[in-house]
Amino acid sequence: MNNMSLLNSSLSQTMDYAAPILFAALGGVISENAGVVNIALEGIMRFAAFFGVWGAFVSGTPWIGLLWGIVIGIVIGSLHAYITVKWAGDQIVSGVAINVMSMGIITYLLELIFKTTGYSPPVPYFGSSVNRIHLVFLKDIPFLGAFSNLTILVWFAIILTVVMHFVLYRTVLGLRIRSVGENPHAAETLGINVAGIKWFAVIMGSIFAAFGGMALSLGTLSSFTNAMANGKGFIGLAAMIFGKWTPFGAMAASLLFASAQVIQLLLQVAASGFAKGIPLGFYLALPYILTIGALIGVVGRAVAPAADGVPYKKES
Amino acid sequence: MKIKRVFIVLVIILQVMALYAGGKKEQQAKAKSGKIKIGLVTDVGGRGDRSFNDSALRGLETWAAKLKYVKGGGYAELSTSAYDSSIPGDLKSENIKPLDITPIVLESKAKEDYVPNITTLVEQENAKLVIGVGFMLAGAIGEVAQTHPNTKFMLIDAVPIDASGKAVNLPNVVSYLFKENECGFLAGAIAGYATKTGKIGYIGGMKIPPVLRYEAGFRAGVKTTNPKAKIIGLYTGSFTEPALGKSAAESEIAQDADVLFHAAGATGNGMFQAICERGAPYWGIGVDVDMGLDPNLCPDRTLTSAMKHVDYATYLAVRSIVDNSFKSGIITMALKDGGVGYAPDHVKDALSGTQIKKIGHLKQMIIDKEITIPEDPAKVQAWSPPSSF
Repeated sequence: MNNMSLLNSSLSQTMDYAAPILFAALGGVISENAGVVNIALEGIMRFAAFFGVWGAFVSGTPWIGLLWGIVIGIVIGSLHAYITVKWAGDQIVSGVAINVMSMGIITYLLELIFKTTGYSPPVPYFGSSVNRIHLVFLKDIPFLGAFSNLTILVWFAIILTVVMHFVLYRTVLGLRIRSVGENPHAAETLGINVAGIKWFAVIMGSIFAAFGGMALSLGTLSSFTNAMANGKGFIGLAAMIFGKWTPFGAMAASLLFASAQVIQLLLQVAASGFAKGIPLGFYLALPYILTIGALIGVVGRAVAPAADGVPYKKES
Repeated sequence: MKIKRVFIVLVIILQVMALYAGGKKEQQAKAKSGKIKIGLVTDVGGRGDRSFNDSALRGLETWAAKLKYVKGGGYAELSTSAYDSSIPGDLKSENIKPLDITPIVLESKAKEDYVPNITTLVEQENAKLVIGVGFMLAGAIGEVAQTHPNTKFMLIDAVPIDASGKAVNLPNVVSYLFKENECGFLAGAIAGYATKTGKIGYIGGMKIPPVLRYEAGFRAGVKTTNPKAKIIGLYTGSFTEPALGKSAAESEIAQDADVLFHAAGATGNGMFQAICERGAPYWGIGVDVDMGLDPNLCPDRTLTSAMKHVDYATYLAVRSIVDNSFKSGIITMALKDGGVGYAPDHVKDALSGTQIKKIGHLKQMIIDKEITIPEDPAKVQAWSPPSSF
């Protein structure tokens, strides 16, 4: 294999690794733009990763798995919205509760359904050769070749980013979402259904996070492991902040983190000839070091929506 | 406010379920027959990890007790034919027979469960022997063994340590360690023959002694059968993240590696995923157990597996209780006593008859102590392979 295919392979790996993080980050972007902090992204990813595998296991097709994952995303999202929007509960507390709940319930279900506390059996998934999107004509072109063999979930992450940018900044709905996140009282005065917008944003965000979980369990891998989502939801939250609460920013941050992960693997090999003294921990920490470095040096001040995280109570 | 009430009840039910699953310390599984109680505490990998814990459970439940675990925490009698077929080829000659014992298995959901689980087995179940699976239990076994001198303990892959992290020698604890470098060597020798591109991938989890021994042996093995081959070695820093293992495998494949070996626990499942997506000509080599038998991984493209028989070690420790031959200290399991080995899987499809004979010869040379395999990857460079074999 030559350098070009190494380049293309590394790029497509980067996208594969970035997709779950990007989905979580996009979930955070839409939810927080409407003023609701959702740290339950991690837990929702875990729920959906499991339910997606369960659905695919039962039906024999990843598409049904995807459906199950979306449904559980809506259910958990509704729970979060019910607590934080309907009853103006503390958003962090609700998020933590959902994360803790996901640990217990999913472990329980894993044991109940798959009779193990470790790993589910493999199921049909989007990463298998037949289910991948093959664009053979791109295969031998530098850079573009990376797009020749992606899973549908990676493509969806890319498309979703563009669509979300359009919706947030070019449509009435987007304007309403952002105004609710900046100043819900003013928005209410102008006749916007604040609670409705928040419900919508939280549930949509949870569905995106659910896609993130399934990008792990039905995209990159083909089974659920009990360690999922392994902090990817929280990295997604960081990517959201890093990307200044914008879809394209979140995408750039996710790609940066994922590429650092791929680069550290290449560096481990490349440096083994001349830099034996570099401890392993340095390579493993590289994605995090790079992220922090970029955050300090490049991004500058990241400002959250003004009413982000503030429970909204209608004045009566 | 009917909805609210329903909602509250729902939340309470969910929380109780969560507590049950998360905080539940044990899944007790008892059988009626058998006189001597043998306890076993898994590490957080638990039952169904397809590797380390399952291997220990096979030694205790399948081989020693001749029982089959059934869902819900009970056991069923195992048929004699199933019993015989559970014993791998390289252990057929080791005289494994059912023993008169009752296994009691407690699973650990978190590392905080180790000490309570072990204590339960000792104080409430009066187990004669308590088995701790894996180096993560070194502290817990050390702690409980010190205060319960009348119970015997077995620790796999580690020596007991005290509260300050120092290794202690206790009269009631036996530690089973393995010469992973020896089976890693044979896997490496096979990989050296099997590669077509002259590039071989290695994926490690964390740099802990057993993993380093695997790596050292593997590198020495490749150096023996294919000195020109290049090894692309990566560490992922995790035993639990298959996505990372897949990424590492893809990185190695993109750099031309066609035979990949991992010593990375569940992270390595991702390596098999990457290989299965590509199929031929790529080969994966499994670790710890015979992964070529696992339909959940990639049996069609599993070349071989570097096995350490945690199951056999567990069985031996149980037998030492039954026939009163328990000795404390460290027991090292090597090729010569069937403690480690390699699985036949697809070796005959990838290697020629002469090559397979040479692998057999190398194995014999290790058993006869004609060659010693390095335990430290850094020493492989200076190590010289046997000139003829």
